[in-house]
Amino acid sequence: MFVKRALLPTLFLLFALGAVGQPNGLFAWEPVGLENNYDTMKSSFSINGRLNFGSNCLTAQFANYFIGKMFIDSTMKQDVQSSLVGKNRYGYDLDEGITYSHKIKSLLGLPVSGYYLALRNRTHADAFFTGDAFNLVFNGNSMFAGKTATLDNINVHSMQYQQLQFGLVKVYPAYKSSYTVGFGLSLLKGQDDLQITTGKTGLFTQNTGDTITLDLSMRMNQSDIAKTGYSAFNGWGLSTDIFVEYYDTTSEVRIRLDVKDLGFIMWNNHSIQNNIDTSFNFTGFNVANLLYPSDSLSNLSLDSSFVKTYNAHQTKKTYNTILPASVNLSYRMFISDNHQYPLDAGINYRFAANYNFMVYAGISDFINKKTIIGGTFTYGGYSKYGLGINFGKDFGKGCILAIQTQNIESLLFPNGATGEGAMITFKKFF
Amino acid sequence: MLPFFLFVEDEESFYLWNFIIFAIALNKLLMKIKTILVLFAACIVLWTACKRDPNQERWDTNILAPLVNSTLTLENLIGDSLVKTNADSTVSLVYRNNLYNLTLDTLLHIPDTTLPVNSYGLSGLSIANQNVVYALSLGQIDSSANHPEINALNGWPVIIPPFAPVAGPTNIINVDTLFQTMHLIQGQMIITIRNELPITIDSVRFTLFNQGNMTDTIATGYFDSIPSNSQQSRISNLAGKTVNSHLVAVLDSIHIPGSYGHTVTIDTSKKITTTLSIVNIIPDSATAFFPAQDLIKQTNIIPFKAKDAQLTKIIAKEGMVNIDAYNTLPDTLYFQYILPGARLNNVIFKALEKLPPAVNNVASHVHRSYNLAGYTIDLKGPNEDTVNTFYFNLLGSIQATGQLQTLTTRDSIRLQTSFTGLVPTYAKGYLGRDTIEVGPASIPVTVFNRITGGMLNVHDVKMSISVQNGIGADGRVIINNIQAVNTRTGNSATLTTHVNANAFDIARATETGNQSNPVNIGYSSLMLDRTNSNDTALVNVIPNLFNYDLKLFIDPNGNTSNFNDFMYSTSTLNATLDLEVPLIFMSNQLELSDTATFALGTAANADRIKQGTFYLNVDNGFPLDGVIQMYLLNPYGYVIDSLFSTNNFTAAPLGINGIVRQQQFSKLTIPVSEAKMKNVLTATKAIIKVRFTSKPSNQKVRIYSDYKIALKLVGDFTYKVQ
Repeated sequence: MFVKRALLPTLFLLFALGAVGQPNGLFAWEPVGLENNYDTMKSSFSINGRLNFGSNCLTAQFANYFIGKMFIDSTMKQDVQSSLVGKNRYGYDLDEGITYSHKIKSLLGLPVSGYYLALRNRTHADAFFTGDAFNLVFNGNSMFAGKTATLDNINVHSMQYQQLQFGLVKVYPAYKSSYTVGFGLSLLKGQDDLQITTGKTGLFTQNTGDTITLDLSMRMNQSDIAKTGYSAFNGWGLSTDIFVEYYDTTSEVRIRLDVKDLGFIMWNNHSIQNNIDTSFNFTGFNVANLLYPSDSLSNLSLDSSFVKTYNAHQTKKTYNTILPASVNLSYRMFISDNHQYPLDAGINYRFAANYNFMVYAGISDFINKKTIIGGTFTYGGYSKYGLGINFGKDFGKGCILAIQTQNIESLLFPNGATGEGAMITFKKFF
Repeated sequence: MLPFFLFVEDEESFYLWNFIIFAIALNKLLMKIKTILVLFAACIVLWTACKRDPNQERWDTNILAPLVNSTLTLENLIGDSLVKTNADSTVSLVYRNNLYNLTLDTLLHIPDTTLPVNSYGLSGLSIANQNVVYALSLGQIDSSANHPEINALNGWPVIIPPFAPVAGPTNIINVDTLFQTMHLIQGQMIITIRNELPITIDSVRFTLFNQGNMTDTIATGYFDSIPSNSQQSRISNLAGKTVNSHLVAVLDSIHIPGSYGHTVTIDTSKKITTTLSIVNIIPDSATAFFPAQDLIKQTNIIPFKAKDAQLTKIIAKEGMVNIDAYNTLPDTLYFQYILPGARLNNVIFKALEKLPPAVNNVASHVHRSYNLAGYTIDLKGPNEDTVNTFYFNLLGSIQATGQLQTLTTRDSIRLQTSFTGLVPTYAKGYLGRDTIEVGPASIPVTVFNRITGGMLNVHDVKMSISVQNGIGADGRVIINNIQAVNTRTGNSATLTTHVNANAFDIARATETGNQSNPVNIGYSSLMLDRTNSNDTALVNVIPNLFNYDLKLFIDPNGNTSNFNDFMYSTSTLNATLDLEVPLIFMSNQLELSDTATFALGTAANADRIKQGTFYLNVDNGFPLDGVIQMYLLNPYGYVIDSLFSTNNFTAAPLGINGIVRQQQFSKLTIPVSEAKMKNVLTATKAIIKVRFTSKPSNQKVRIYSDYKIALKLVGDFTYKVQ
């Protein structure tokens, strides 16, 4: 009885630490059952990485070709065009990190159940855009001859930063259940950031092509472009992760609420801010003598009025970026008495990230004590829907590997699926 | 592996490391879960992009955009240096080419001039005057005259009786501290006898001869009577005498007549003092201690001939005077070489040199060269009565050295002097009558360079031969022949005119007296137009060459300026052929062609244009129909493609007064396939051909300065995004 009573909090803690060890994501499947194999071990070290792309219009194939810098043919573009709606969006996350967690009863006099330390590289991009914007970028303005391409209210955000996180976890046992609370505080190093937001904006192409008129209302913030790469320290910030979990020991039902990436980054005063509300009328480059094209073309440059107008609004000043925080409510239960088939379900949302509510559900199968395999279904988020498969393996000696893809349909129907995601985690208990 | 996994720099590397990590796991698990992992691996492999070429094409876009705006004016079409806008805004083509340039060094050449070796003898030797004094006291006379009582009565008043004539003592005079010997061309000996005795002396005879040869009398003197306390002198000529340093002076006889009964006080110390002075000595040879003296003083003239020119003055831009001097004197000779006519900053040219003594009768030699650049040289000679003449003064001298030297008037300094490389920057005088053949020769006509075909019919051409004369001399031009030639068509036309038998006089330049702008150019020209020549016919052949044959005369009427011709090296006589063609013409398929560098392949991002159609919108402001084509040339100069498919543009219509009021729009098409685009990028040059036909075709059109063609290039093309 005592063993069982002592074991339960330990298991809760294991789940909790396992969860914090996952990369920050929208939905991360966890091979919890495998980690039970090492519940007596006090520490763990994990390496993890996650890529997630989703859109309501951009196909997986299009995204892969775009990210992979391969040639995007007209068929791929047509696949996207057929999915374009009034409000188009995409999101992209790429995270890598390492996490160390340790079970401990108190820390600096505080009663805790454990702590963790994580170092992560975070990349995020999201956008809201019009169909005309897509067509303008990927098909050109020729299709808009005599018309205006609408570029209103486009919103593009891309950022990369590094995160050092320290967190505490406390388990509160209860009758046939427990409550777990976790809190993590992160120090952020801002690497780069770009935010573009347009207002009433449109590009008019005259039928004959003699004139192109851009009515532009745009606000742009960009971190210091002189410093790039991992060594660039263009800003700093803070963020917190909080979770609360309820665990019923009888039914092994688990309900958990996560709030992640609640914070900001303040970019330094070398950052660029540009607020433009003007109209550009382009009638061609002026050259002195077209009969001597080389002399003329070698001196081509955008008319100084364009450049001046653009530069006139440009200032260098500090600005803040609110991180795309996420809220995730998850639920786990077993659908068989022998606890072989766990069922996971949940709902999540990201703030200020052009994100839709996402719901998901998944079922897994412990093939044996050291292997688990499962499938998931997601709906919403950046993409429309997703079918995923998960695999976990305990290699013994405290080594667990977990692999997940959230959008297996992107492999089967790359020109129809609009999301893809993969996660890999390797964890060592000791 | 871990650090690479975490800190990869780009997305591709991240995928790659994902794949590697996964592959390791895959290897261990393969046997158990093959199916699932293979599926997953396939997913990762698909995701994992290999390293891509950063310039790889990403997608194509279709762009419809204005690319280039340009305005072509007449200057662009023909060349801005060739277009002149008239007061009424009409336009003329102007052309000027140089026919001949006459410069000072062409017209005038001062030859190198050398004066042969001349020997300059010593003009004379000078030896200082010499004085020898000796005395004969009364006591000595008494002793010689056997009157010892006189001595005994010294201090007493007595009456002195007459003495029998007595001979004075022989005195040896030694002047070897002055000279050893000398043969005199000129010289005088002054014998002065002072009688301090209390009585008169009579019949005094004096003789001077070289010691050792009593017969070699140098000088003698006779005095009848020399009263008491008085002196008398006698001069003896020494010309032709040889005088040695040891001389013997003898008072041959002295007669003392006594005191004539008068009592005189005897003072035996009283003397007869004889002074021998050798003065005005000019030896022709001497062995002496010579004092400092000028030995040579010569003036020499050096005339030269400069074709027909007779110059009175030049300013040398460059040139040298050279001296070779030889000294036969056994003494150092100091000489001055002076060009009195050559001045720099008002200072006369003067060279001071030292010639070492001749050794063993071998003359010493010195060579010197002096730069005359900048010197103003008077060429009128020492008496200012001639032309083309240099002259110099030579002055030779020795200094007192305290050494015994033997010099003769046969000793000399030999001198050779020359003027070489003398180039004047200014010359004055009479420049001489000269005839210069200008041609037969050819000059290119660039004004029609771009016209490679078609017909041109112009109106009222003005042609002129202009002369800008910067020379202070009259001139005259005679036209033998001027011919316009079109080497492409073989057409030609020869100028015919009846103006002054094809000749015209050229006004001379004048001097301003202002050094910064010293010349007033003389302008002259022969104006030809349709009233006095067929010059329009010359232009209508659209020449690319003018052949010409002229004669240019300088000072055709001789020395009319009385030696006041002048010429500066900075001012020239230029003859030019000028052409002014008012752009009032009819043209038919007049083809303008030009080859230009075409390096679109090097333009940024030009290679991203894949294919498309480009449109050249032409707003034609000229009353000329046009057909344009651009031919692309590869680096080897071969035509590889052409651009336009629709290439005609229409003339602007003429309005009131024959002036274009409204531009005419035409749209030209340039279809560019992928193959043509490659040619566009490959091409390094382009030939642009435009054929113009004036409209209306039955009348001449007038071109105004504000006519232009507005061009806009619009592209509808596929652009590769990279």
